Amino acid sequence: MSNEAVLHAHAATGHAEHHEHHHHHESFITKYIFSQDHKMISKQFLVTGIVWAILGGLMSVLFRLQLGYPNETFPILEDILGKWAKGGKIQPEFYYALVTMHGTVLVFFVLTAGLSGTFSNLLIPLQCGARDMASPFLNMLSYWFFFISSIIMLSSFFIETGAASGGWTSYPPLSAIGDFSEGSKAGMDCWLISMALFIVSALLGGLNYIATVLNMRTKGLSMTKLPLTIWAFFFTAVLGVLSFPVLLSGAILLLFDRHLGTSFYLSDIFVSKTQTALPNEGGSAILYQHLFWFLGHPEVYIILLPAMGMASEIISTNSRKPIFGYMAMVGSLFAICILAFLVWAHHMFVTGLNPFLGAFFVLLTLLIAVPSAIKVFNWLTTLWKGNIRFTPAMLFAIGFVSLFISGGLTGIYLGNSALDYQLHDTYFVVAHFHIVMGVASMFGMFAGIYHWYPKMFGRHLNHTLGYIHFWVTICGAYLIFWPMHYQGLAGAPRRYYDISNWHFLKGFDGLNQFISTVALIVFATQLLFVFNYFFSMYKGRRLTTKNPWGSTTLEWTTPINPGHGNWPGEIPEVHRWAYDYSKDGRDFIPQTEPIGAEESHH
Amino acid sequence: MAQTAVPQEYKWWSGGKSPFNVSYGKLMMWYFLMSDAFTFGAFLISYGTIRFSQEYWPNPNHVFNAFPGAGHADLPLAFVSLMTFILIISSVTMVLAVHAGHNMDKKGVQKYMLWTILGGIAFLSCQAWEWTHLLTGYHEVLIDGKLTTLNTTVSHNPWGAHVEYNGQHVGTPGPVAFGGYFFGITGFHGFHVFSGVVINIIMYIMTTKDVFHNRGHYEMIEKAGLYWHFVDLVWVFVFLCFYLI
Amino acid sequence: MEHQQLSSAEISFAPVHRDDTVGVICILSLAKAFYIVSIFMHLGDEVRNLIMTIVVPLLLFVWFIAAFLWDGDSWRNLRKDYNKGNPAKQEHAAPKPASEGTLK
Ligand code: HEM
Ligand SMILES: [Cu+2]
Repeated sequence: MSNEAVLHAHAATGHAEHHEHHHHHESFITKYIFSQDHKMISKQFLVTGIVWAILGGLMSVLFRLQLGYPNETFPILEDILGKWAKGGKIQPEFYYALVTMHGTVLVFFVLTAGLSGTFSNLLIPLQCGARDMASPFLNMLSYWFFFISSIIMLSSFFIETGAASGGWTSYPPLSAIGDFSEGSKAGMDCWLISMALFIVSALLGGLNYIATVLNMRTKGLSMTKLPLTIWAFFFTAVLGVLSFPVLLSGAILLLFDRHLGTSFYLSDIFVSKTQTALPNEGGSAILYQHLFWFLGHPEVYIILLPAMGMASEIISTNSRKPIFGYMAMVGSLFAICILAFLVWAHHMFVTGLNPFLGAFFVLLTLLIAVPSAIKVFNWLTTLWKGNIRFTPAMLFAIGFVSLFISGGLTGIYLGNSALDYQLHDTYFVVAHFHIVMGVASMFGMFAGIYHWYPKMFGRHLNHTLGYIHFWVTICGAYLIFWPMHYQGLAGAPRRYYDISNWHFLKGFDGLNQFISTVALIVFATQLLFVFNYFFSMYKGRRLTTKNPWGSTTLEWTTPINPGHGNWPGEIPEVHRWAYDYSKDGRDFIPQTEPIGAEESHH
Repeated sequence: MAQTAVPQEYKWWSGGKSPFNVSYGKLMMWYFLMSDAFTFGAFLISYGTIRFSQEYWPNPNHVFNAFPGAGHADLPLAFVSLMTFILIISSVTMVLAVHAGHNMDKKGVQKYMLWTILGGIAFLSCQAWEWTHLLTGYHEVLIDGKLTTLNTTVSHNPWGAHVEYNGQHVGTPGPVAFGGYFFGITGFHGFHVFSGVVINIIMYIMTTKDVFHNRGHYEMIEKAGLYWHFVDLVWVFVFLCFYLI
Repeated sequence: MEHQQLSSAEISFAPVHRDDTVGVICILSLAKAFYIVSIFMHLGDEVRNLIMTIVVPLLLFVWFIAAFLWDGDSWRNLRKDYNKGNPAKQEHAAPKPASEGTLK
């Protein structure tokens, strides 16, 4: 048997599947629930992500209420939340559970599964010219593992002792010993098991994305003709496949410490609540931090890269200009991908990390500024003198660039260990990562949704609501997070239930109320978006053409509502890169059009 | 593997085909194994980190010196060498099974898969013996000026440094991380061997039922083989880290 | 219950035994790993670029290992410093029984 036999056998089955589809009628279950169509799986990821985003956002509203009004009571909260808000006041245990779950949910469920899961699934086959993912079955499993993981995480709120409350990073020994807090009991086990299942989901998804991009590109679509979205999803998948396993190891060791009496992370511990010294000896809590951040730092780029890819695509399309420096964009994604693996200990400068070792981490961390700056300048030069169309997607993409600049700059402060000794675990860090990762990636996601909604549902989102959504969100995001830099510089520590006890932070009382109020408004505005999303599915303006944005890429050559298999006939062949906008007097030239004899070079 | 000759400036990357001339399934298997290498790597590196943070670490020649049926004879690393040998032989039979698959030789695939499965089971049995031996073997140690006995578990370690006591050399408790990592990592490896055996059994049944024969190729055997060899590969490093250094 | 008398009372100090042979052993192990991957797993027969996509990411292990072990070694030194002048914390001390309460 030769390799050819395997390759051709596969191609043949692929074909047969596709032809069959026209006659075969799908049942409700195979079409909407256990679907193996990447477009449906993408929508499943998105809807689950939206549900989680609402829950995660709601959590932040609740704990912002505590931070803004630490001395007030809200009796209605007790009616809804019972003992967690005794006397109308959020209890400390519940506050920590809220903060922890907010972080976990937003980072992993919304901005990893909801972002990569949605758009890698939707766009990789469509923009690569494939009928589906390499393995539709594993792709379906990827969603269902995520779903089970979600259910377990959600259920932890209904446990007697509450959800995990050791922060989204779940550092031991707090997370390892049930006696330390309510949230370190069963809630922590739920967290760990849920994360383990989530990692399985991320790996199944990531392996599929990589295999599809490498193996399933249509004829003529060489890697250097790929849209930047695909490059970004590809590197995102690489990051996940190589770093999530390390978190899995860390989580398994933590489970052992919790239940089997091992001493991986524990040593010399005295539990004041029970007045006992634990027998554990020789472990190191810092080891967990190393393992966590070996994933944790790549994770922040897993969240960011898809947003970068989509922003590149949307900015180029809506400026009617080729992306500036295509190869530099790919190269900087690659550089970010590599560096992301090398810098994890910049989260650990104050753990007693050997300062000499720390110096290497400072150096590597600051190097990330180079590819980041390349990307920023390329976006700006793409916009420069563009024929800009301010669609909601375009506004969100530009907002993304603005936020990435603002948040990236504070990263450079934090990357210097000497400054980080002062800034670590203050609101400065909270401001940094919410702007650069949280809000920026949400903007990338919104941009993606506004831009590709027509491809998902054959209808447009309402643009007026989109503009309101954008302006309130961008102003709100800056109003919420910008002042936090000052709080952090003044020494306000993060993760505290009540910072109003410190005299030197008294001056921030009013500011905290202001931030909380804005947070509430921004949250309400997101509900407007959710309304828009579901309303437009049924009532949105219908698409009249296949290609509403005048895009060059392949997904817009499919029918308005493509079936399973994406293209009714042959898969189109690709002849050019994805960025021939405003070329030779033409507004745009689709990737499927052969290069003309007279055409100029780009 | 049979590779058809390709013209000199063949465009591997131009789309419409695999740039690596492999099926997506094999590609995913390779990359899955790479990610699994990071899982094992993380475990072993954690072990190394903790070991570097200790002043003292037990000498494997003392810990692993027993052999079933050999009584108290001091045979350092003899048994684990046998285990390693069994695993590598089962890798060889796996290679032969894959080879038979290439020649569409169903009988050969069946024969060698059976041997591979047997090898896997033998390895797991050996591991079970070794674990039992460590968990049930008590050794004299000096704790707080008193002589007691300890077994090797995830929270006890009788393999500490030796000290003078009443004119005699006696042991003291060693770092407990030793047992935690030993059982944790060999356990995780054993779990991989176990799942490999299960996969191989499924492959055997599918071969018997002519699934691959009718499909026209035995690529599934090849993918199972990759997994099996990976288990062997990981053992090289487990062996190195726990038994050799 | 099995009581085992150790044949030698040699005291060996970690982290690594028999320093002179460790390098050789590591190299031999890597050689074995190389042969498993290239011969048994047939990676040597694959297209060059496929080999690269598998081998190059493994280079990440270099920094992964170096940084982790470096920090582990640093903890050992830190511990030594903390334990100096603390009679309750002698090296090679037995695990403290829970009742001793030296940590209070
Ligand atoms: C020039 C680029 C960047 C540099 C130099 C940088 C540096 C740092 C440093 C040193 C910290 C640790 C602060 C501390 O805890 O004391 C930090 C925190 C963080 N960074 Fe960045 N960063 C950069 C860009 C980014 C990007 C692009 C993202 C995400 C997309 C990001 C996400 C985060 C997150 C989530 C945290 C906080 C994690 C936590 O403690 O909970 N950073 N950054
Ligand atoms: Cu980081």
